[in-house]
Amino acid sequence: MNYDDIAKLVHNSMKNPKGLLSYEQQSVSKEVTNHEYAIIQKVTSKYEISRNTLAIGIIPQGLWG
Amino acid sequence: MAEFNTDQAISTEIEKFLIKAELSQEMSGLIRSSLNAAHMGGELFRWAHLTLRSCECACGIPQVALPGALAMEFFALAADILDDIQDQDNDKMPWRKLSNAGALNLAICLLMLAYEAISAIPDSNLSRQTGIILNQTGLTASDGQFLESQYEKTQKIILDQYFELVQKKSGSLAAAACKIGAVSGGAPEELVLQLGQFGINFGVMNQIRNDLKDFFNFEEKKDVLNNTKTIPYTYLSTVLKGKTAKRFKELIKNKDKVRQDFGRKEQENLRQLALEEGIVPYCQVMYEVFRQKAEEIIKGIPVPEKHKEMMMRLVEESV
Repeated sequence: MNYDDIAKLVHNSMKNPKGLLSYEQQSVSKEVTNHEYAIIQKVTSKYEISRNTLAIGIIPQGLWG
Repeated sequence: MAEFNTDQAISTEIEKFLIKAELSQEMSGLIRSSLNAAHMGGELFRWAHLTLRSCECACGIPQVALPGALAMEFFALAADILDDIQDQDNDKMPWRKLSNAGALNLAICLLMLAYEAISAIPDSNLSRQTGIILNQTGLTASDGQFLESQYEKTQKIILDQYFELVQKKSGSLAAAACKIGAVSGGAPEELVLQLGQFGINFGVMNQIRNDLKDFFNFEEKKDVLNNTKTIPYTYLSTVLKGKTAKRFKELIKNKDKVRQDFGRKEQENLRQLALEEGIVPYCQVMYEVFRQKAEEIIKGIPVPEKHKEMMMRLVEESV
């Protein structure tokens, strides 16, 4: 797993209103797997920055939360 | 399992150990209140439950795992207390009402109780195996805690270092609970290792959630003040460039170490910057990556589906 590349992809998607490029088009190393990429797409497509809301608590609490 | 694995059964066993240890009323009372406070709204005796769940997953008898489960509960609470002594935060906890010396003695007492519980395991081979697992975990977790304190003195760490750190500090504890449960359940070595790997992923995903929550909890946590390299901090120092990176550095640098305070304006600025730069989706992504790894491990282990249910419940909730 390439932690840096995942971080950069998430950050770029927050800064780029057009969102993420497809997995094939991305320029970061292929150490980010297709599977990890799908997770990034799923999360960032749902996410909207709320300037007035502290958007935490959206990681499931589960039994250990 | 459902009939046996109750908080009452665990409480009864804890009482037996406290009586046998002939501790003062003050220490016994403090241990009881600390065990009750440690779950912080989550599952009571969660470390003991994780051990018992893992035993069930390995098709074992939970009663056999009970002393190991108690050892895990005592041990994890000691680790929590030592972490709070190191961080000097979490002030609402009972052990934080004590002096550092008092809290240190409480943690030592709990560690000794953990070894009392291990010595109460009738099967000498299982007792030895449990002791080895807990000892190795203590070494790994304290190494992680040490690294965390060292990293506080540095300006930046990379994300690889962060994830190595949390696997040592948090993943190792959850892995220990799972491995103790598995050996108590008579699991073959391969299954013990698989459940241990599940525990590491489970521990890391919980640490990610806590790091995110604590980063914004300026009142009770001192992650920002202590310069602790949490996932939000490490993410921001990795991705930010130019003016935004400079702004982040200034915000972090401007903490008032003397007052141990971080003004409301600075808090709000940091909060705003963190949200705009994607802290929440990044933590969600990494939580989900580790959650899915944990889920895949449980799906793949060679035990009947009904034995996996309790473990699956821990990781079933996706972001």
